[in-house]
Amino acid sequence: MVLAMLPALPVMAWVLAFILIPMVFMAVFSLWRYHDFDLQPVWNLDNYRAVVQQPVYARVMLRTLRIAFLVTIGCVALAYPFAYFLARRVHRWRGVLIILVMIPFWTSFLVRTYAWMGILAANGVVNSGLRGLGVIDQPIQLLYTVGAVVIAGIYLFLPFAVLSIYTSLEKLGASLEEAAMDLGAGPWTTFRRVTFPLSLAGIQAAVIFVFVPTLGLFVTPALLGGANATMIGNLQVTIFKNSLDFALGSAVSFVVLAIALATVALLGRSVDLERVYAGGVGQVGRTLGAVGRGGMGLFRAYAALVYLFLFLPVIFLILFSFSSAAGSVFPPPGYSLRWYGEALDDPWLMNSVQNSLLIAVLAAVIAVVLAAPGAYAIVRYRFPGRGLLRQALIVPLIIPSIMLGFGLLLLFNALKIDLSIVTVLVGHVTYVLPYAFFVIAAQQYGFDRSLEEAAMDLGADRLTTFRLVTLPLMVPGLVAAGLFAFTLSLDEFIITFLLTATTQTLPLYVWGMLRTIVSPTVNAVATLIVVASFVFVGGVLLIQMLVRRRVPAGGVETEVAASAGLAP
Amino acid sequence: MTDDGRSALSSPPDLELREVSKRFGHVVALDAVSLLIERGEFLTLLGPSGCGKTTTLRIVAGFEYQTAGSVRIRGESVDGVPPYRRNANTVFQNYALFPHLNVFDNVAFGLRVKGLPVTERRRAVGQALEQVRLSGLETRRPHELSGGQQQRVALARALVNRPAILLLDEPLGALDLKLRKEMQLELKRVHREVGITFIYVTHDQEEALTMSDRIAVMNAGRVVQLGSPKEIYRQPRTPFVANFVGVSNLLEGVVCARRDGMATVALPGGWRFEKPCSEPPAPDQKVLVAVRPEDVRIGGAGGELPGEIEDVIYLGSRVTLVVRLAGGAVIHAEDAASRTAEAYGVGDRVHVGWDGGDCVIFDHASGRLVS
Repeated sequence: MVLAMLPALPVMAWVLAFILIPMVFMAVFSLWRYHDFDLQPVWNLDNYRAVVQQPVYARVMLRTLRIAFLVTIGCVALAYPFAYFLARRVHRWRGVLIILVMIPFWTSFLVRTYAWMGILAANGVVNSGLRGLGVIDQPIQLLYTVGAVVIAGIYLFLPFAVLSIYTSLEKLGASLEEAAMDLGAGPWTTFRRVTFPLSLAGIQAAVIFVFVPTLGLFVTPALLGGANATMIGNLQVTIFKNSLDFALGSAVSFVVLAIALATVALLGRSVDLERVYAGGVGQVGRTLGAVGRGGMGLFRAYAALVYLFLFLPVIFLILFSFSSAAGSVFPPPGYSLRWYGEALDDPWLMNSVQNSLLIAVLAAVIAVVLAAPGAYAIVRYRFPGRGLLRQALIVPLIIPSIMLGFGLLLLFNALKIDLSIVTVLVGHVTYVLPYAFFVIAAQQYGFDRSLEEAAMDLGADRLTTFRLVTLPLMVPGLVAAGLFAFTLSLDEFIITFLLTATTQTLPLYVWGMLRTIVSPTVNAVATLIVVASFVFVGGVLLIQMLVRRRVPAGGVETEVAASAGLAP
Repeated sequence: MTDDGRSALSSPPDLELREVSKRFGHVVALDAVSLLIERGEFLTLLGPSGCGKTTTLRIVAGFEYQTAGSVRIRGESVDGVPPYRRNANTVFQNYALFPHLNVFDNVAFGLRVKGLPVTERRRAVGQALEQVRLSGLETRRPHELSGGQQQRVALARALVNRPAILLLDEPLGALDLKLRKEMQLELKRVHREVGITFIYVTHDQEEALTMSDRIAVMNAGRVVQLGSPKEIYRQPRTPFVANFVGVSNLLEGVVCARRDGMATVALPGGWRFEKPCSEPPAPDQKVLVAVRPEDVRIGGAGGELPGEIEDVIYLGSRVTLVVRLAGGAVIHAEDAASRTAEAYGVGDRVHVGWDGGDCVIFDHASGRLVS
């Protein structure tokens, strides 16, 4: 029993040190007093009182909830018919269509948010278009409104909703609907009585995956909402980074945490979160070759609109990067490559790329090394702390990742550890660890244990069995987990932002550009990021397709799921 | 085998289970099972799901350890010995072929682990693949093979190690009927050729009858009867065996008279028949009469059990008549599909009966064999 715990010890230690203990710190600090730039162990509830009573906090909190609510409604409403279309009406191209939904995941979160600036700006795509059509004379205020944040939020999180609902519909299969029709239910009755009730779990998952990360938004309201749409994330960053009132910041964090966990507790019971995360998109490959029956015209048109919504912002961004104008003017007055020249001339760009790659590689390797033995043990053995480990690893998946950053910031501050590239790395490992863990665990759950029995039956002792059978069959899962962790780390912004001293990663570099010089150079950099991530993901998919011919079952599917990057 | 003393002297039995029990918590999966299996025998463990047959196999393989009793392979105790140090190999139900290895490497796995030199390995694998008629597929991956081919790889992978015992866990379960029939004959052939002891687990009674030297019928964690297919089929020792192996008509009756080596049994319809018994039961004892459909006589004449034909099931070479007796019981009678048998129609009134020697009778209360 205790021996079985050994492989899980490293990951347990990491989870304890960098997830659980920071939470405890946060809980304790939220009940202390901040005075004279110092935390004093005077137990009180003033911080919570402030959150509820001070109009600033209450207003921002309510606004955050309203935005999260609207984004969630928008996502589910848009996603359901689309997911239904994918799961029921499409056959031949389903795999490709799903990969298309996932593509935005592989593009920088920051870049995708920024893309909306060019669309919503006073001289952006929408205003220019409407003016061109003669609908308006003066540009209308689109940017720096709550509406802008909501639209961008829907855009950013729509793929989560689509994939969650699609998974439940796909799992449901068509035969139950056929049975209902066979028993005399018309299409509408079938949908109402059979399809919809059985896809509720998917909707609940979608709500969790959209609502919770929206609660923790920081970049989106900062770029698109301005002073009119400050969200709780912005407020928290201000408190933690500027006023350093960790007591108040902890209290605010705990309130948000409570809302997030309550949402999950309310909706998550029927949702197998591990499965959704680790295996949700496993169907992709299997359905790639399926034969088609064709879709309905209306659904097709709708699906085309959703794809436009998903891709247009990035397409405009690329267009602007070749514009000769010194701003996101639509349509571009002329075309040039000058912004690329300027972008590549900046030595800080290369420096930040190097940092990003270094941190991503290290974070991925450390996460896999920690997670693999732990996942191996948790699937096979019962040991003390097994349940707690699983719970503790699920928590970071269902709370806004900004919370992990605050927790670690508190920890490092309390231990008087100076922020540096090391603290950034710790933050990244903590952030990607649960994803790596569950990707490996999912593959291990799918592992046919009789293969190990067969090896032992043929004379291989435990170590030989592990070396010749278990490990080789684990490799696809490890690679998938590593790639997943790598992509997540490359794109990570908020934790880096909170935990860095002077180290700049690529997202921080882009953020810096957005905050200081408003120059189209950023369009060029963003386009380069998009292209680079496409090349990377395309390469991974290509390798997968080649590997698929050689290794069946488990591995590849997990890898596709991983590449889907179900990550906020 | 007739001379116990001699066989014990020449070599110990390949497998001996002595009072082996297995408990999972409060559930008793195996209840004091004892078995003795001679070298080269084809023994089938037959029974419904949950009867303990797979547990028995897994205990012999070493994947599970018994909670009581002992297991000996070729006279040596293997209690507590892990699977990789046992002289037994398994053909798994789902084949458990290593997906990352090709056919050759799968078959060579055991030899490689043992550290056999490459040339010998190559020769042995080639031979094993030839034996299962898969030569030429060495470089294929398992998923590129059909179900039947995977099955053969699994067989070759186990056989190549020349184990004392080959354990087969419902190995044909995943195949379709036609392929299953083919593989049954194939397995018999391989068994004859290699002369290794086969222990075969199945819930398919027909498969058990076709393939085995002996069958151990299991139920609820016990071996209820051990014997040749013919013994099991003709002389079932309990109503369970009579019903599980093949089809049996079971009818209640009463012993009404007895004399030397003979009991007279009366059935509800008023028909009496004489049954030869070594120890005839007491008069007035209630009994269960088990009779095979093919032993049931059908005729229009009186004296036997009267009834009405309820259904005629045409089976190609044979015809089954479902007859409802006057007392309400139903009897299946099977006959070769001759003109006479085919002439019967639903609703016809007939009489059914059998020879006392063609049935077995059990004590009604205890289910013990009395004939």
